[in-house]
Amino acid sequence: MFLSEYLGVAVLLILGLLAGCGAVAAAWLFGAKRYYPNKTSAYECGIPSEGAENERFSVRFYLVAVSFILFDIETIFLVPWALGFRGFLDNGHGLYIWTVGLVFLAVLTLGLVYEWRKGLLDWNT
Amino acid sequence: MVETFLSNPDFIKWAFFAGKILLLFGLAFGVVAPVMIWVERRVAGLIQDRYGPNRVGPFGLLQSLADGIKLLLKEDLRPTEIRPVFYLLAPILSVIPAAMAFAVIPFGPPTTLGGLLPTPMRLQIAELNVGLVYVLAISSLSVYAIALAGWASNNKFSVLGSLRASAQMISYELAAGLAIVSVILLSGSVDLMAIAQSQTEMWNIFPGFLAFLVFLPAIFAETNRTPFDLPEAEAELVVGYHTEYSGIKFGLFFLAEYVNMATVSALCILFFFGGWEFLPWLSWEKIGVDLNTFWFIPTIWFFTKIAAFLFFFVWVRWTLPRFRYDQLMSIGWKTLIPIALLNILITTTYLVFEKAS
Repeated sequence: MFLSEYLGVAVLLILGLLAGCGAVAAAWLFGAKRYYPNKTSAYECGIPSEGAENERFSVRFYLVAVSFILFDIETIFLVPWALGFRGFLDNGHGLYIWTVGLVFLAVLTLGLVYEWRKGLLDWNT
Repeated sequence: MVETFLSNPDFIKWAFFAGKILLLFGLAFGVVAPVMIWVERRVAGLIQDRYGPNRVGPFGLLQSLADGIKLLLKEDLRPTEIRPVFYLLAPILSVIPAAMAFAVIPFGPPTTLGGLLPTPMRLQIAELNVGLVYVLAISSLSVYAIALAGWASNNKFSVLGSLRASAQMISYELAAGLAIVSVILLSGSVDLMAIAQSQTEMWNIFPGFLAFLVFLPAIFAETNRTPFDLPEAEAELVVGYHTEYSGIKFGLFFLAEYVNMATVSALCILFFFGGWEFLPWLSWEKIGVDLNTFWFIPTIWFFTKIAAFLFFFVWVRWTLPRFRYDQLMSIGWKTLIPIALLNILITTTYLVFEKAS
């Protein structure tokens, strides 16, 4: 059967969905519902919440996300290389696959060094 | 009639499949999570020289059950400022990746269950040949739940907590990914079963010790555990991304966290500690255990290793203080990632020269 080895994944997805929805539904079913404004206001240590709609946060979180994308894709590129490494070794092309991989790693490292020198990785400034 | 039905190979196959799912799902959500919450609190008590929960059931073992019932019966509180749909979606989304991630964890060598099955079958729910990539992909989905929880709560503590959690989890995911590359190099496969079986002669921890040193802090950060529990730093952020959550919705986040802990422990054991093998240089076959009859011994041993690792998680939590956020990010980017890159260089060089010599 096509993709039949993924059947277990699908079953677990459904089980997880049922467990999550079931718990939330049960809480809604069994829980008391006695609301009043003070109880349902945002928890900010007793002070009325202010300006919640336009939260501003440090741009560094965004920069980390951007550089994560780059490095994560590069890591994923390394996976097939690592997977084929032994095959190349056994065929006597070990030095070739080693050099190719190291050039790629060097570019990756260069990117990291660049980010580092630019101060992207400093959080205490 | 009944006998022929029971010995029908298709029936046996499906029963085996259902049994595996029931066993692992029940074990993860019904045993590991509640027992680990109890162990956490009990060990915390003992480390801090107090009792911890010891009233409900023998040794307080039923404490988690009582807490679960209590959480279910709590008021279904919905703060006025939340974004309602996403607020409800976030805890559900945190449980789903937790439930899906252990689908590819093999918990024993292929077996016939002592002759019960016609052919040896894998003790693994989904027999994916890309298990490692799958588990990386699924476990990184859990960051969505946390980001969504903070944003949907519309609370400053929550937003900050979820931002921190997202940045931390993606940063350490890189380190973990690079450490895993050297595991792939050593084992030559991304099938978790094959990775475990490649370690019968020698566990990966010996050639891959540096990779383990990178992987260990990375999985602590991935599961948001102390010393990397910055998202929940209660001294500065109340409890971070689940500040606005109460009752069972809060419980679901915790359930997912403990199940994830068990999954990453299993992964760590499969990558570095030989899976279900007995000792680093000693496989079960070598000491003369007949795995056809005693097929359950490696499985039990595997679960014992997971239990030991989970205890290590708890031990670390109540021993080490929390990092500062800038320290956390600089450990991730400036220490772990360079070490992981260096480790790939060392591992490949080792492999090339091992072959050449």
